[in-house]
Amino acid sequence: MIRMGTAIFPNPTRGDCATWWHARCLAAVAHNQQICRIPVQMIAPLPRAMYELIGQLITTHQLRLVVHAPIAHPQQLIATFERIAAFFEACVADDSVIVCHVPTWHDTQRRTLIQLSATVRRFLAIEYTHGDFSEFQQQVTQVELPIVFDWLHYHQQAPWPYQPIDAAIASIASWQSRPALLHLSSPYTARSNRLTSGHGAHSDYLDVASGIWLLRSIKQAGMCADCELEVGAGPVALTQFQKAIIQQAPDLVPWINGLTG
Amino acid sequence: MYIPDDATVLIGIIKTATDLDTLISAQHYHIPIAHANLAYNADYFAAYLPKWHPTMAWHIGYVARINTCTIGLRQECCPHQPHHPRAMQYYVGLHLADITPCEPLIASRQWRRVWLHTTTGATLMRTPELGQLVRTQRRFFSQSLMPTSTTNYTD
Repeated sequence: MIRMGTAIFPNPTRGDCATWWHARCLAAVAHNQQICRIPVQMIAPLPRAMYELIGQLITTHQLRLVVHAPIAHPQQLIATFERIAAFFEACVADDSVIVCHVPTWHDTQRRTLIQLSATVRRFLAIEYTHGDFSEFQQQVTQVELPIVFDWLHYHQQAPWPYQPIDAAIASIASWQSRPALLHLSSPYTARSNRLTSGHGAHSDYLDVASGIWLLRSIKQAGMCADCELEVGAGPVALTQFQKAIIQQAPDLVPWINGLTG
Repeated sequence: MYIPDDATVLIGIIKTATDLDTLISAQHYHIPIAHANLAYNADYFAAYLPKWHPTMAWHIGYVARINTCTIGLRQECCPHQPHHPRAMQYYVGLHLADITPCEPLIASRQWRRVWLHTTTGATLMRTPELGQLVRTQRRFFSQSLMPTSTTNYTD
């Protein structure tokens, strides 16, 4: 089964943490989204009953929580990683992910990542953000962590040789027994295709053809990966992508729904 | 009521006179859980009155401050509609305060299908009419994502 999701709570500012979590999980279920991106500021202590409720929703609806750590040196993030991992453990959210961006690779970064506790490393993954993919893969292999492949970041490097599918497959393989996670998004190409408030280089909607190409390639490789759409239009863009799959690639539908291997 | 420029305002439709009574007497408004992100972002609420209202049709008639958000089943929010098709679905309840008539009234001259929309205090209070919001802001309606149809339901 391929789980999909996109950000549907872009900037929470209202409500106490407990009801926010309840609303966040229920909204994901209502939108039929199983990948839930959580802002790092919402990782805060909750009442015990709330952890149980979130855990129950995660188990029942097979939700997967994804938290992006701030972009900083991993040494400054140890406390953050531990806080997030403790939260995941309290919710019994076993396949949740802490996505970490490593701006530069030096010995201190590598040492810090290797020396992190087993609890944190169980959830941690490194997102591919920049640089040559094979060099990045080599660096991440040394710290024995999985890679979150990002379709947009790969294309922003204008790589040559151009092998996005090979890179995606290699990233999925790095997850070993854990379910893999991919970031799917498209670059904005025109001013009119962009939201007024910042979504960086991400387009509002996904380029459907490349999304289907990637999914079909993953299927042909006999693999599976959860997909998180980083798009401005959020749930509307995800619905559009799902409709496009049904219309243009109906053979993928049973595989996405977990009905075939 | 003064709405600060940087405040986020949720514009919501008041579909019936009963809903308006609930809004004013119980200081309460509810939206489906699928759109909870709009509620959790918002600081103020603006009530849009469609054509049923005798004097303020197609206008933003009331504004209020949002105090808290709670989650509950629809039948808890609307005990007068126990047989509604979405009675057993989760809704976000907005608990409001300081409900006051909007002065001056903000009309919607062309854009009639206002349902749920977020904007800022600065944009709302300076807009000559609601249709301007559509031209100045991108919006993504996800109304079509709602799973249950209420076509054949009447109160």
